[in-house]
Amino acid sequence: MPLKRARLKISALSTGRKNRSAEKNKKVGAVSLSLTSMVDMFAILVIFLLTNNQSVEEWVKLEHDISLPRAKTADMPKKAVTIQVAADKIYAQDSVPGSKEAAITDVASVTKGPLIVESLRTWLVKLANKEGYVNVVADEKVNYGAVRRIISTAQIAGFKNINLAVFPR
Amino acid sequence: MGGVSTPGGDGGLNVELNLVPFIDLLSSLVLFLLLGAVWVQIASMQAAVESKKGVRSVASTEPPKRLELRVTKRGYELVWPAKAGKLPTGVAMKGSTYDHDGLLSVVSSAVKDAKVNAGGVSATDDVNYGEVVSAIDLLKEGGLKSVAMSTE
Repeated sequence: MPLKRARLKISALSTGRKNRSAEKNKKVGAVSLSLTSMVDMFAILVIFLLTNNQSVEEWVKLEHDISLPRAKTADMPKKAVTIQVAADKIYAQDSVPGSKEAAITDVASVTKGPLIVESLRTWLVKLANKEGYVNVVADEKVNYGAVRRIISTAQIAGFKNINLAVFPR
Repeated sequence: MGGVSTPGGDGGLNVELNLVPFIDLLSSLVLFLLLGAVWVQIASMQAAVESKKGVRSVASTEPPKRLELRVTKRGYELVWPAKAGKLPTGVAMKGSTYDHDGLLSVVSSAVKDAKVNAGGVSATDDVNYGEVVSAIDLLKEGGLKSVAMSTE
């Protein structure tokens, strides 16, 4: 008797399953995915990236393994002549797009030398496009003596406004 | 797919626009812009510079209450203006690091109590440039309106 009841139940289950799958087959229709909202999202993303891609990197070069100091009170850097003070060498680059970087001198010789770095002064004086600004991109571990001489030289060469490049804290 | 259809007879407008290549184009553009974007944030700190010859980048009259800070290998040396009252003349180093919090609290209290409103930062040649920038930053953070860097 119990065996018979079990058989009946199994058969009932299988008929139920068949009915459900038949219902499913009836409901399946054409599924269309609305891509318009996705296109909208992409378009907004592209516009955002295009408008916010004003690269500061073009104005302030950060190369030669320079680790900038950190500061809380900082603004956006200005487009200006950039002087990079790496651990060993000093590089300078004009603000004109596509201008080449020039290796000026060694840091060690600047630190021990006079207050005005003659090679840097000559390079700065030659620049036709003088906005009066200089971006000093110096490594945080460099001796202040070298940076002090570079800033003095820039001032003597006619660049009165000095911007110190930092990482915002 | 994006489509435009108008109800009507057989001559009704029914345009189906294939958006898949458009999405491909946009996604590749997004990828290109994301990869090409510069994620390193660089800021700048404008420093008024003073030299021995009196070259001063930011024109201003000498402020009446000016703190002179000197960064040395031993710590910070402070020279306060006359009538500033009794204020600490130095902030020693904490082990091998500079006491930034100590300097900030001294400057903040001087701005509040002694009405110190300007500062000048100088340093010895052997000090790290990063410490000079930190000192300028701390003076500004402490409430000093104008901070100049001395190159003498």
